[in-house]
Amino acid sequence: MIKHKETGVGRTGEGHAGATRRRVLAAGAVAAVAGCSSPARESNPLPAGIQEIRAEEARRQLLAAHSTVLRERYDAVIARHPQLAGRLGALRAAVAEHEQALLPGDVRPTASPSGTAPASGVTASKAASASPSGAAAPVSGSGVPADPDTALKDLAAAERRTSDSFAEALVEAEPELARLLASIAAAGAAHAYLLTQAPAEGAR
Amino acid sequence: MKRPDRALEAVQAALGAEHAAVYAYGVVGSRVGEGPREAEARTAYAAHRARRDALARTVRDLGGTPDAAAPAYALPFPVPDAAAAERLAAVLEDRVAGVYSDLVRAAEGPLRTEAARALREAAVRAVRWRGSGVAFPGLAERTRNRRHRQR
Repeated sequence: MIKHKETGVGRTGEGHAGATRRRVLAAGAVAAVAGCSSPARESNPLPAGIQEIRAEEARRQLLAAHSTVLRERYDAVIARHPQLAGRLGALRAAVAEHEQALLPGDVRPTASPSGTAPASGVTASKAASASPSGAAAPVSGSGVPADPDTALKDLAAAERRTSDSFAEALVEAEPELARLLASIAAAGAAHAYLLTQAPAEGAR
Repeated sequence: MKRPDRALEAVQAALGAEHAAVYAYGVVGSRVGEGPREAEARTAYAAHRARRDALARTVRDLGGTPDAAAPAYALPFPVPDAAAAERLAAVLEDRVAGVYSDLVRAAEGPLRTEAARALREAAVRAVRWRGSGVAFPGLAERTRNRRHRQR
């Protein structure tokens, strides 16, 4: 199951900057730490309920990483094409909300004794995304097509890929998370539609 | 409540919303005027009829009796012109999205997948009608009247 999720994230991260990929992999490492047996867990066994909660938190961090990758795509496109900021701002803000909604409510680096290092990376990304929209750290627009229309098409494709990943993940998710994932997947499909439409009504 | 009972209840709720959507899209189609919007209304009408029929079958599969449509439905606001018709269509899609998100939660397996697909379609139709979307389609508790205008 964890392996399967990692494959899904890899697909979303395709063609993205190395830093982004590392962040997603870090989230995957948290999932591996919390979801699989490890020496630390054997020497310090946890009640089954707590193990369940940790596995669930790890799953949610892995899912949130999909939205992190997507949000950073928006940042990169806006950095490369500032004239699109107005058009993309609201969509980017929605993706940041998805990211926050997916993160477990109470993520602390100290939550897992053996998972401190990778967890702190994820927490840093949470802090970054919590900053007001537009105030994110400068993102280079490298890797973004020079043609704005192509950049928008790429963004729409990224939205669709992410939406498909969530649609796939909701099949096995617990009921409340499945509902959230279905909504976020639907929002992604709607974003992809908006990104491929001419911005003005009269232009259609 | 047992899980299958919850699923049946959620399917009936979705069926009720689709009955209402089929009815109201009749009004939308008659007010939206000629042109691309008319074709869009017709396509959406057909989509909701198909969903309605599929949900009725699902109710039977789950051992229930499908709720019938009401003879008429109260519209949320008067629909005298094309602009109001477009607004109505968007509201219909929001409501349909809401019942499908509940069905996703209540169902498992193929029914859950299908409900998620229906939610996605409703969300896309809503932005087509409205020109903007919300961050969490179908989740009224997270929407708080915020819309993402695109232009």
